Amino acid sequence: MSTSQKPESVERMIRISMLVIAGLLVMLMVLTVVFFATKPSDKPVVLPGPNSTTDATDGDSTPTNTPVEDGVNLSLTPDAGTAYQDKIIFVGDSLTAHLINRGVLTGGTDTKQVWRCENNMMNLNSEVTAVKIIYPGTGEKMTVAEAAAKAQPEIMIITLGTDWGVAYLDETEFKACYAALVKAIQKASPKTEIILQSIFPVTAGCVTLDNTKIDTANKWVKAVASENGCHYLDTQSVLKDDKNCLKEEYCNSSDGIHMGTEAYVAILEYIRTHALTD
Amino acid sequence: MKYTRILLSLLLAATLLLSLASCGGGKYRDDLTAAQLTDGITAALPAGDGWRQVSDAYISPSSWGDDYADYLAKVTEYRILVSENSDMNIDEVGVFVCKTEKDAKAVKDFAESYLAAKALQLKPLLESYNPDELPKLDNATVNVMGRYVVYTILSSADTTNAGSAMEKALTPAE
Repeated sequence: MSTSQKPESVERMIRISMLVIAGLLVMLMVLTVVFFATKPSDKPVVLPGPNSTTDATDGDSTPTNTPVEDGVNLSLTPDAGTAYQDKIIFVGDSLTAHLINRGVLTGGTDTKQVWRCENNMMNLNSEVTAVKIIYPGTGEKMTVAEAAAKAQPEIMIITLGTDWGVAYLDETEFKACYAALVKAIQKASPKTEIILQSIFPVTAGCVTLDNTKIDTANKWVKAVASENGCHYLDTQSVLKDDKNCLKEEYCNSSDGIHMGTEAYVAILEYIRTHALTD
Repeated sequence: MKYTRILLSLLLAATLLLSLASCGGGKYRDDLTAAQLTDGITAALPAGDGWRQVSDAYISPSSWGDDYADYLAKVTEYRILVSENSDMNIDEVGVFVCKTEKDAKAVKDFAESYLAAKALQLKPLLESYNPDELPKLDNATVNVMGRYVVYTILSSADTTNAGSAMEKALTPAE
């Protein structure tokens, strides 16, 4: 054998070594490309969401006066006028009941558009479907669903949560109780357009409720609307100051919750300018 | 003879033990349903606005605690009645029929926790809307009678009448 001829085993070893080195180089190149192409950035990627209002998880409660178009939020429309407003039945706790004594609806303090309980308290809890309202005109006491069956209203705006719901219910119970009421009304009066209105904000000095919890609960209200074929009215957005609290000039009570006539004028204007459209 | 005496002693001891065991229970009836007992109690109260049974969702974490299911597992049935006019009248009667008397002791704690939570939750609202009802929260009572746990949120007079009605309903006829 000549010295220039390498043994077969050595040649094979050299071939294998070169293949391994080549493979490693290819892997290195691929890893380099992958690493530089997908390098994580320092900031989290924020995906555009359906609602640009508050996010309960980061605690930033920046309200917006422009509801996002998402098929649930009632968006800005021309003022639909008192003819539209006069078709609405309002259901809720004392914050709804005060539409009567503020005299802001067409019937003034004799309006028949407000369904309230005898003591104006309407807790959003498991018994909300059984609680009795005073049927305007006759004074009969009946459940909201029974009243809906009787009146078959064209439009109903429900505002609940200030009593009990925000303070004591978690998301599951809150949504279940609210949905139960909505479903009962829909069964009693299938043609009624149901609008769930946002829970109203409270002043910075309110000791029983806080606006962070209310903002979170309003997400739940909107979810109930979305999940049950209703609309959501983001009225709270016109009641807040730049600190995410009820404007002091709108509050007329030391509890930081109840509002004066000026607030209700603003609420009704919001309702008329975010009207249902055909 | 010796063994006969030992055997007789043992028999006597066993008889004594058995008689002691039978004396421990049996003070209250245990054959009434929750509905029968609640009806018996409410029949002793003023007619007022009438009563309605609460929904199944009434016992929930927000008022009864996250461990409510553990307590309901000790219960064969329950019935809770509230006033038909519940926005104005906070009257409430609840009966739990427990599996054993030992379970009844635990369910008593359950009911007492509920009443404490309810008082905390309801007081601020009642102070604003219905202060006349506040004393009923202070009158709230839990009674354990055998396997039955009964709680009431009533006026002082009605609480007394309800207690008498419970005793009468659950005391065995002689």
